[in-house]
Order: sequence, then C-alpha cells, then structure tokens
Amino acid sequence: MNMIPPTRALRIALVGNPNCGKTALFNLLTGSRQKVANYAGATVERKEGRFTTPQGHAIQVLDLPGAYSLVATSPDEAVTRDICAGTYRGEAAPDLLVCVADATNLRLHLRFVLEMRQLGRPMVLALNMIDAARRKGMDIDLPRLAAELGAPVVATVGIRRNGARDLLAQLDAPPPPAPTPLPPDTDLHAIVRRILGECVTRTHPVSGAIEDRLDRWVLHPVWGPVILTVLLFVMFQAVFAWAQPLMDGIDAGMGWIGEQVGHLLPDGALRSLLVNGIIAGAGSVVTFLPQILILFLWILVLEESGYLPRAAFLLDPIMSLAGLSGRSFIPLLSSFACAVPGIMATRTIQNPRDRLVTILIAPLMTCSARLPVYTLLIGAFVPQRAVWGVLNMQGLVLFGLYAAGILSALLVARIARRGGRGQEAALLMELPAYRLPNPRDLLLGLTERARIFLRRVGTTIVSLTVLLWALSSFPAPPAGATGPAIDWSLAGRIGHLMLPIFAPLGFNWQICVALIPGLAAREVAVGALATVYAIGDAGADTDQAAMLGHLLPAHWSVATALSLLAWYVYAPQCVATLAVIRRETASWRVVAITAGYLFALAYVTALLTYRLALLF
Amino acid sequence: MIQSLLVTGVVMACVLYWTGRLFPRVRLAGWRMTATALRHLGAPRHLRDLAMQRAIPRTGGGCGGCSACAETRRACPPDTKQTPGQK
Repeated sequence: MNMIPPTRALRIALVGNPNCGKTALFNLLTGSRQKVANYAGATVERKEGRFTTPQGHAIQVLDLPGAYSLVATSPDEAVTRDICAGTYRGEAAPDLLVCVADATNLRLHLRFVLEMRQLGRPMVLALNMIDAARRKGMDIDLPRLAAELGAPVVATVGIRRNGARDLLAQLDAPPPPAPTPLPPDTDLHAIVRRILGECVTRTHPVSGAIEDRLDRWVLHPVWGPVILTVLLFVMFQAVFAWAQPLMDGIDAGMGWIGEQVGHLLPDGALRSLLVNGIIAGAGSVVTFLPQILILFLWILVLEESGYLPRAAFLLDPIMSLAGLSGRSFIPLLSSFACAVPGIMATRTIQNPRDRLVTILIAPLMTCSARLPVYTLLIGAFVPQRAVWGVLNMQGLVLFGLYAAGILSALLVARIARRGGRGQEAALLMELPAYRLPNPRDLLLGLTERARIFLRRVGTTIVSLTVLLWALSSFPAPPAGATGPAIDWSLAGRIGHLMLPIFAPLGFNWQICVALIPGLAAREVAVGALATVYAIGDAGADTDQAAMLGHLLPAHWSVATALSLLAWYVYAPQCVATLAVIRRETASWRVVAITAGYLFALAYVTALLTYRLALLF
Repeated sequence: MIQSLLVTGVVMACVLYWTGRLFPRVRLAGWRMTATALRHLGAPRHLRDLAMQRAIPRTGGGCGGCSACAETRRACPPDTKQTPGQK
C-alpha cells in the first residue's frame, strides 16, 4: 500500500451489497443524517463525509451505492465499481475499502467481499448488524474469517451509538496490507460455502417462523393487494383525520400573529406586506406541516419495516401490464415525497428504456408539495361527512386524486413502452427482514422533513409571496379609479392577460396569477392565492386573511375547484423536477417531452372536469 | 418613509435572491463586482474573501457520482456524467 502523507486525510469507501447498513454506518461515523431505509437502493449516489478518529486521525469517508457485483448492471452500481477500481475519471481510488456486510446474510454478502478482494486494494470487512446475527443464533469466528479473507474483520452495529467502536480502532491502527487476490478462475460461491462452514456456527436453529407467516399474508396473491390497498387507504384517511387539530392550532396561531401585527403597526405598506403578504401567504402554507409530517411518518414506517420491497413484488404484475417492472416501484414511491429523489432513484433500474419511462411518469406521482393544494381545496369544497360509517369523504377524495395520478402514470407508461416490458423480464429483488421501525430514526426522519419544509417556507415561499405582494400592490390605482385596487396592479394585469387561455378551465385571474409562482414550488400556489385574496378583499380582516379555506367557496364554484384539482394532478409545475430530468437524462428533448405531455394532459383533464362538473 | 424604505429593502432582497437562483451567471458576476468594489474600498479581508468565495461557480449540475459534487465545482467532470443505460 502507498503510504498516506500525514497531512492528508485517509480516504475510505464504504462498499457492499444493497441494504447492508452502509449509510447507517456512514451516519454513525460522520454524524450525518443521510436517508436510511430497509430496502435495496436507498442510496443511489456517492455521499462524502469527514470525521476524526478517537486518536485524532482525519478520515474522509465515501458512502457508495450498494452493488451485488462488480459486473455493474445499473448506473448506480457502475459508480461503485469504477470508484473502487480507481477508474472513475476525476476521482482517486480510496486508500482503504471498508466492505460492509450484513452479518445475518453472509452467504450473499461474502461473495461481493471476495470480488472486492480481487481488486487487490487494502480492505477491512465490517460485519454489520452483528447483534441481529447473534440473536439469530449465529456465532461468527472473526479472527478465522479475517485469516480466510486476508483482511481485518470488525463487528459493527450501524444503529447503535457505539456500534462503530471496533471499526474506529481499526482505522486508528496502521493501514492493513492489500490482500492477495485469488486466482482468476476461482469459484467464489464454493469459497463462500467453505468459509461459512468453517467460520460460522449456529448456537440454536434459525427461526423465521414469524417472518414466513407474515409473508404468507403480505405476499398472498389476493390478500397481499388487499393489505396494500388498506394500508394506503388508512394513510390518506390519517392525513386528514389526525392532522386537523394541529392544523387548527397553527391556523389560529397565524391568525393571532396577523392580528397582533395589524394592531401594532400603523396602516401602510409595511403592515400590508407583513399581514397580507408574509403572514397570509407563508402562514397559509405552514398550516399544512402536520399533514405532510403524517404522510411522511407513514412512508418512513413502511420504509423501515421492510414492507416496501414486498409491495414492489406485489405490484410487479400491475407494473408489467404497463410495460414496467416492479423495480420501478420504489423510485415511483419515492416520488410521493418529491419527484427529485424519485427520479434519481431510477438509477437502480437496469434497463435504459424502463428507466427513461419511469423518469417520464415520476412527476405524475403526487408529491408532498401538492398536498397543501389538494387539502386546501378539498377542505373548502368537499363536505366532511362519513361514508359507510367509518370513512371520511375528504380522505376518499384525496385517495382518489392519488389514485388518478397512479393510474395515469401506468397508462402513460403503457403508451410509452408501446407493448410489453423490455429486457428486464423478471423482477429479482432482495426481500429484507422485517424490522420494527426505530423510533429515533422515525423522529430524525420527521425532524429532517420538517426542517426541509420550513426552510422552503423561509426561503422560496416567503420570497415569492413578498414578490407577489409587490406585484399585487403596485402600481396603485389612479385617482378616482373604481373597483378593487389589485385590478390595477401588475399581478392583476398579468392575471387578466392569462385569463383567455385558462378561462375555458373555469379559472379566474387570481388562479392564473397563483400558477406562476407555483412553477418554483407547487405549494406556493396556496400562499399566492392567500396573498392575492387578502390584498384584493379590502374588507377582509387579518384573521380572515389567514383562513383561505373560508374565502374560496365565496369566490369559486365547485366546478372551478374540481378543475384546479385535476390541473394539479398533472401539471409539471416544478422547475426543480424538470432540472433533475435534464441532469439524469442529459437531454433537453426529454425535458420538453415531459413538460409538454404533462401540460397537455393537465389542460385537457381540467377542461373535461370543468365541463362535466357544470352539467351536474 | 421608514416603512417605505423597509418594504423596498425586503422586496429588493427577494428580487436579488430570485435573480441569483434563476440566473446563476448574473449572481456570480454580481459577487465578482462586489469583491472588486470591496478591494478598491479597502474593506476588511474576511469580507472580500466572503465575496470571492461566492463568486466561485456552484452550478449544482453534478450527478453525485464523484467528488466534484462535494467540492466547490458541483458539476460533473467531462465524460463522467451518468446517463440512462450507462454501464
């Protein structure tokens, strides 16, 4: 091994099969908060962090996407292969490979470790989840395993506070020599079997009875889809039912703040900016935080429990009808949070055409930014009454909107694939062990999500509502002008200019104005509507300004509200999504196709919805 | 008067923020001009350094595949970008 200059940090790379806990270990070492989940493919890009060992050695650590083999079959695996081999342009090879292996599943993971050994680079094996292996009755002889592999072996538990103690001690020691590669034609499977026979003993027989019993229900061809539907259904019901008290609290808080500011400041531009702009605009978006957190709590629980890959397996036949494989399921599910990571997660898809089609349909999945728009309109126009005694009408409509997005995505995929699925004929996916979600991870995940949401409110949304307030307030109407002042403003004029295009959909000029800042982030449309109506409605007091839900039914028909909902199911009103499509496909053509078909779909659907709604 | 000044300041800050986000080149040029102006005015070194740091391109166009994303460039080196089907 080359000597590392004392001034330079040791570069280590965490490599291993998917879902072996690399990112959990990365977070533990660096104090980072990268996303961890109990399924293969949670990490699709290289992450980098730094930390200092107890003895003061500086370490630069790379968290690489999981790979089953160095013969890469997908773009994310290619990154791992090239970085480990030192052939990635612009990237030096790591000084030390830390091969992370799931101690409970050594039969699968050791094969990749042996492949890494063939690279002839210094390496350490971190046997992760060693506690789970011990609970399963596996006794692993670490010194003997180290001798077999020709590399040090340490035990780690990525989710425990001191779970990387042995690894840190190893990093403080002098770097190990590179192991001797095996002869090229060696049967790695045979070696794995031999090593397992010699190094692993079972203190008591493996009992997978509970998991098997669960899987008999969860993966059942009839009960499996029923369970999945019920889970999703309850999720959307919970978004409405559980969040309401918290939302009411935030709403009242915003109203109170608006009132206080209104009383404290004299009438003027500053008061209008704060009350009608920032508090009415950004405040109306903050109100939806509880709903977003409840949605994410469900997603996190499903991710951590190990249910998601099973759902992918269940949906494989349906995805197959659309010409896709179940492998597209997880990127599409990630898109429910935000299309940006969802589109990035398509790197795990091996077939290029499947990947492209998944990228094209990912924006049709209802992202969390659309939730404020949906819930505002549903709350304002759909009565809150029970259906069949137990179901909530508003939750049902929300479920319907999500379902519309999913069904449309499958239809578009079917058309785009023009026939059956491609080369990726069979779904081959590792089903992880069921795990009880760790409350700390859930809390961290929710905190992170709340932080992201509030940061967006504090930057994107506040700044846009301020600009919209300025556009809605200036220029002032000329002396002697009649009608609302906002009609004379720039925003009013822009809205009226756009009106001929959107009037057939039932949109008024205020909605047209709200569509523009919605291009930056969908939820800004809510803040924009709040600002436009707060300024336009001269008689509205500060409390009313914060309660947009009560204002809308007085200004819109139900047909208009339904039309706007239909518009939001399809319209690609997020520049970040289009930017990441450009980045992932390196093609402006794909961006143009995506934006074009989504706008066309949005326009036609909103038009049909409006016309049909007028008939009833 | 004070109200108008404050409001103008807030609105201008938002205009600059969105100009920077929508037109990164304009933002970089702005920071370069600020750095030059600070140098001519003999401003404290840390202020000049701050402006210079912000004048370094951070395009954010990287694929997350190599260290470029973690460093200041945040863009893919030539021929390394991940595209569909790249193996």
